[in-house]
Amino acid sequence: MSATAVDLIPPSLRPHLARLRLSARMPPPSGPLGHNASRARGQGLEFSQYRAYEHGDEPRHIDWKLYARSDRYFVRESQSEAGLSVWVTLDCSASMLQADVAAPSRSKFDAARALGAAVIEIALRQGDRFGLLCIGQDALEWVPLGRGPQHRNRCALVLMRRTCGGAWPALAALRGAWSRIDPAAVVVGIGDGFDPAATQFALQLAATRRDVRSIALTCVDERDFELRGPLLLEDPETGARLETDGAQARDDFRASFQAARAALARELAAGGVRHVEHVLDQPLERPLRAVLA
Amino acid sequence: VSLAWGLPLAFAGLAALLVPLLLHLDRRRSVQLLRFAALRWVRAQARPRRTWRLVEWLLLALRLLLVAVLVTWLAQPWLQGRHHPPRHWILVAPGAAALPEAEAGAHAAWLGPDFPSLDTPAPAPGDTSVASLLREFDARLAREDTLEVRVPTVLRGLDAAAIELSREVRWVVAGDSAPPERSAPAKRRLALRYATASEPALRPVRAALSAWRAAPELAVEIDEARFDQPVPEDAEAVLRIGSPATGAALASGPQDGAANASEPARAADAARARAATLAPRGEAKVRRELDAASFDPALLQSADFPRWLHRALFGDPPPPDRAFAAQIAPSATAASTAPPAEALRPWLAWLAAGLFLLERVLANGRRLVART
Repeated sequence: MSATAVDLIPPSLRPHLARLRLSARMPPPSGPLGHNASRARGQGLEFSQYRAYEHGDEPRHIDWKLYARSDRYFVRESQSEAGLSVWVTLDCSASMLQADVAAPSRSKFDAARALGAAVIEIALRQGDRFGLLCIGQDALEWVPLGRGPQHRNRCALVLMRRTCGGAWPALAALRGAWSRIDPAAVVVGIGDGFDPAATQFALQLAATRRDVRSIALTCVDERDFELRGPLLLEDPETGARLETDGAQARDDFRASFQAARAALARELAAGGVRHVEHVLDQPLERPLRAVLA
Repeated sequence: VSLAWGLPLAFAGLAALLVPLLLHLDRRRSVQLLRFAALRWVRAQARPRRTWRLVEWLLLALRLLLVAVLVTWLAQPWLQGRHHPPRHWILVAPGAAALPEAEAGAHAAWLGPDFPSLDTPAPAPGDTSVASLLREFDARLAREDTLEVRVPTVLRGLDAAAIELSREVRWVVAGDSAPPERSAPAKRRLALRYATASEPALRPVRAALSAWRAAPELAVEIDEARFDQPVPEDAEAVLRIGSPATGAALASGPQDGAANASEPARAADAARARAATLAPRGEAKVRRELDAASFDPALLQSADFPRWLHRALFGDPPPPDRAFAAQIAPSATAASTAPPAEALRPWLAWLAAGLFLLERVLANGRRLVART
């Protein structure tokens, strides 16, 4: 099972994983121990502060050396290190199957799976709890929060078996997310950013104190539109068709697409979502570094 | 240099140019079907152009060229105009003084049939009409060419008309290569045969013969004898008077003819007289034989009888065909004919063959190379 998880992450990305850290913007609530500082102070390894002794404090927490110098009782407090809950949400709509004409085997979904597996790998290394949410039209596929290599493999299996299809579901269908994704969880949303509903979902998660990161995948063809000749373009989700000419439509498409991407980035940034756009010909560690740090 | 077309209607065949064009038109509308998720940002106004895509440009160009060449071939092109710098031609009439050495290098030819080169012996003078030869050569030359004709003092082979050419000709009376033989025309011989000396028709005939002597052009040597004398070989004409030489009369020697020209019944069908009986003797000798029995009595009385008799015996005198060359210089009054044209069909045929080969190689070359 471990081998399959390795397959999801391309070899070029793997060396970078050791240097990548997933840190929460805000300290996570107390929970299982992890690498992130928790809001609860108390026992732990990292010194936090001294405070005056209060009645009921355990005598063994009193710093006796400080008492010897100051003739007062101080209690030494340390921060407990808490684990994060990391949710990877994956856009599994049909538009994620988009690939370049020049490289038809490199689809957006492949990149999304690699990025998701990398995030899970990082969370595994940090001892965080992680879960997976695949969002397609027909059904949401949940892998609940868990930790450990077994759970990583469980997520990897789902990732490998997952196929794309349909459109992004209505927001109502995602109602279950509110109970499952706990507040203060880190949500790494990976998609193509084409669906306004997905953007709304991310914004709502961010508005409810979830720490949302967003990676929007873009094909090279979508960035450059170096398509030639007469084209019959078909929207994989709606089935709408449009006949056009590559050279004629190029400039107009580039301008409007870039404007849409910029608008998406502004909207997400305004909503408190750390957003990065990733083009398929760029190295995969770039969006991870931008989003996770 | 200009092109002329023998059959300009053939250019309607240029419509055949459409055939390779249609063959090369890629009518499959090769629309590429693409799944494109970012479709909503493609503006719908950008309609695809109606693409008339032509495939294999080089082959198409070759085929168009081939069709065009074939059509041009059908149109029978002629190339008119000069293909060389203007030339100065010198024609030497036979009998004229030889060309000076200084001008020997110029384009020169004999004024004779087919205009042989001066290296060849001179053609016999007077065989062909000089005016006709000059006109022929004049038509052969390009407009820019100049012509010089060297003629002897007396030019033979002329016809009744003045020589009219399309260009100014330098007419050089170049003297004579050899002094013209002033030999008097050989006298013709007439054999006069009669049955008896008392033939009534003999008198007017003799009178006519003596009248001939007065005119030099009618001068004739007369061999007068009875029927039993043989006709000399060189006699050009034979005039018989009296009995129409029956075999018996000839065999038995001279005798009084029973029938003679004075007989009214015979004289009456003078109208149907055989004016001349042509009987070839020898190689080129033509002997005319005339029977006095056919003479119309009225004709015998007329003043024209001597000339009539001469013409009946010797034919029309030849028309005058010689003149002093200085007086018959050609005039540049004739309309200039079209310059000589060169047919371009053979060249086009070769070109078409070459193009066809090239087209075949280009069309099948890829397949042939793939097979090997």
